[in-house]
Amino acid sequence: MKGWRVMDIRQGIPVSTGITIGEVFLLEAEGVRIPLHFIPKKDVDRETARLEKAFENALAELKNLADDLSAKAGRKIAEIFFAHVGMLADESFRGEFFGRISDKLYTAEFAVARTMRHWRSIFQKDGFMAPRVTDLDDLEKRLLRHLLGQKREELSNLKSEVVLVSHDLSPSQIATVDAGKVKGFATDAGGPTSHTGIIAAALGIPAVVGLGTITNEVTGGDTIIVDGSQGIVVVEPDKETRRRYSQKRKAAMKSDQVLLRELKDLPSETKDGHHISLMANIESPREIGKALKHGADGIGLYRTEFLFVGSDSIPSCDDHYRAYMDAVKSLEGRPLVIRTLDLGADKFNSHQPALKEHNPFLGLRSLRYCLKNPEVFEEQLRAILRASASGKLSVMFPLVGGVEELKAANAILAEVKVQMKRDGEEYDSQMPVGTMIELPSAVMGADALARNCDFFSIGTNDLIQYALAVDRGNEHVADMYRPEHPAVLRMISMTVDSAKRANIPVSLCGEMASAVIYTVLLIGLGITSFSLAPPQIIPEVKKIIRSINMSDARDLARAVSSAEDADHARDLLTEANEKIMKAAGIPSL
Amino acid sequence: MNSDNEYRSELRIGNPLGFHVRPVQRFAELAQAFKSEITVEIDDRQASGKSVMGLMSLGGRYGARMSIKIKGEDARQAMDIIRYMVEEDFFVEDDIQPGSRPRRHIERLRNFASCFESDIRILLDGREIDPTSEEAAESLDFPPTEDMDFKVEGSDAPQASKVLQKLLDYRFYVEDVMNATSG
Repeated sequence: MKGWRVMDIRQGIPVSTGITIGEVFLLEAEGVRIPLHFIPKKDVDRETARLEKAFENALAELKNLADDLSAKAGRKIAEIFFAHVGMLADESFRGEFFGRISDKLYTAEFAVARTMRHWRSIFQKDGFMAPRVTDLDDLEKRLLRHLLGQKREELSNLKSEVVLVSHDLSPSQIATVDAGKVKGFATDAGGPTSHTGIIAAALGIPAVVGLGTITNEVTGGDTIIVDGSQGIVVVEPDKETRRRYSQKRKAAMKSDQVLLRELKDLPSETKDGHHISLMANIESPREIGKALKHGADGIGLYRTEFLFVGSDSIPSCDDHYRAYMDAVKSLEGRPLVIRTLDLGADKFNSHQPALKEHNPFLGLRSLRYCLKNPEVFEEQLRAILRASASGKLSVMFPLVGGVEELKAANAILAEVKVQMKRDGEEYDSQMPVGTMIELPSAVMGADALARNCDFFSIGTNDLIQYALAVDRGNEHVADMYRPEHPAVLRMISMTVDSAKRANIPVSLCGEMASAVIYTVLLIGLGITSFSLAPPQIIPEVKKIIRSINMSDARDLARAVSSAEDADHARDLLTEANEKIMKAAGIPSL
Repeated sequence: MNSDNEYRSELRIGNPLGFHVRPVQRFAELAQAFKSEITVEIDDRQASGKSVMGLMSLGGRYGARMSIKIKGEDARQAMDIIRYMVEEDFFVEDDIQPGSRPRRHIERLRNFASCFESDIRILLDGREIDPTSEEAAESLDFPPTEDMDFKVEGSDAPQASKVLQKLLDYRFYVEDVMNATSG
């Protein structure tokens, strides 16, 4: 199909920030041909010696690689290879390879392939270890290469600058990369914590993973844009898009410091004076300093479960209180929104070990867990109330499914207040209580919820996942995770409408808040407060807010909301954003 | 030393990424310094604490409980080291805040040394320094210099030397974050 190509825009998972435009270097998933499978008994010794030699060479090579990388990117990054050394040096693991030669009369190559296949299946059975299959593939290729005397594609000897596109990148492929030549990564597979991301970020190379089928869409030599900040990849961009991104890249390179210095003390409001509050997400009070430095108005999401899981026992009310007071002190009167425990699904601790649930994301997690364990919940609520006497606190309940759960949580809160009053403890009796809108059922029941709380906070990560039934960590469906999907936009809009009827504010946390392409759209949909992460993004968002009129934002939201599907919505969004930004004199989004 | 020593401990995996490649590698390396038999169990799955592959196959998630059983003449020392490592999140979560705990490497060295019966001295610039002394705290810069070594004498000297060598290899498991990450 070369010759007539249409620009193709894809959404993946951003793992290393920055923008790059370059030529595709497609790394094929090379199948290695195993020449012979079995040997006569008399050859066992010879085959064993061949495999020993391959192990020896592979280990020596890995140690060199680890030392080199250690010097280049630090011991921590190189540790992946020290781990590979550890794997190959593992006596019982090694024994399995040699056992297959002596007992089953396999060739060394076939023994390697079969042993690795066995371990791959062990790792794959457990979602937790599945990403490490890459390490096995890497070791397998390394051993086979030494056995077969095959030369590897020399990524380290590239003649020109390229963007590396592959199904997945093994740690050694990334490590041998010449950071001067490889300008970006785009992969089919991978999640937020993959090696690709860790190493790419350490080397400062933009990377997007989880693109699904990007390897099928490109040919070596294509032009590709990798936007590692937004998780967007554009294949064969048209002239206009290319120009837009190269400007954006230049703008991004102009240091964030400049933007920060210009904007830090200016209010976050539209040209026509609508205030949009910009808060930050934190997991620990020590992150507050950084948030304030970047101009955060306060903390819009304090994820308290990290306090819970970091401790060896169930944190007492005092433990919670100490952490909250640290936060209150650092905030010096600015608002702090505390989300109650959001354990379960992918977050566990020793007192709530992973339950055996077939589908943990539809299981006993978050508020559901708290309502079943009121003794844990009460300790936290008491600490929040106690801290409310000293600062501007709000509390919000995550994963509320319907009004009955909200009422149950409110009842426990009321009960704790009664106890505190009896004990003569002070608290803010007017402390606002919020509901997180993260489930489609909460959107549908938002009118009733709004009558029973003081504010809404839309958690887009879960809302999108549940609305579209897509796990974006799953490479097979990751490209279906679309924040701009009309269903998602409709849900945000419905939530805002319900909130308006009850006259309560709506904020939005989750990654959608931090992706600047959605900023104007979300404001147009009626969001008046964002909670963002990382805080470095705040100046950029503020700059956009300060350059628009509310009426423009509403027009844009109306236009985008009319789309039939996510692709259409994305096109409309890109077009409308561009128009507004051009008028505002901002190069591009 | 009593060869029938047996120690058991229940520990929790506290680092968010779980018992992944790097934690496993660090665990196995330190476990290999000891003669005792070390068994790790997570969710009814068992592996040798010295086997990288075995430990990886346990699939230890964030928050999972690991039961550790150590049997042999140096079981007490092995358990002390392992417990310390697990409780400190395999030393992988240290580098979040640069410079936040400048004395962390001294603390780590002291905690390692205190697990052993042997007499341990730091060898630095021709001096022999007691790791628990104030002099140690003052002499050890961060990042630690390349040319330091240890003098170890006592009943568990071989094990202590191996463990301390790892501590040196990893530069006290304390990393200058500015080197290792960006953004």
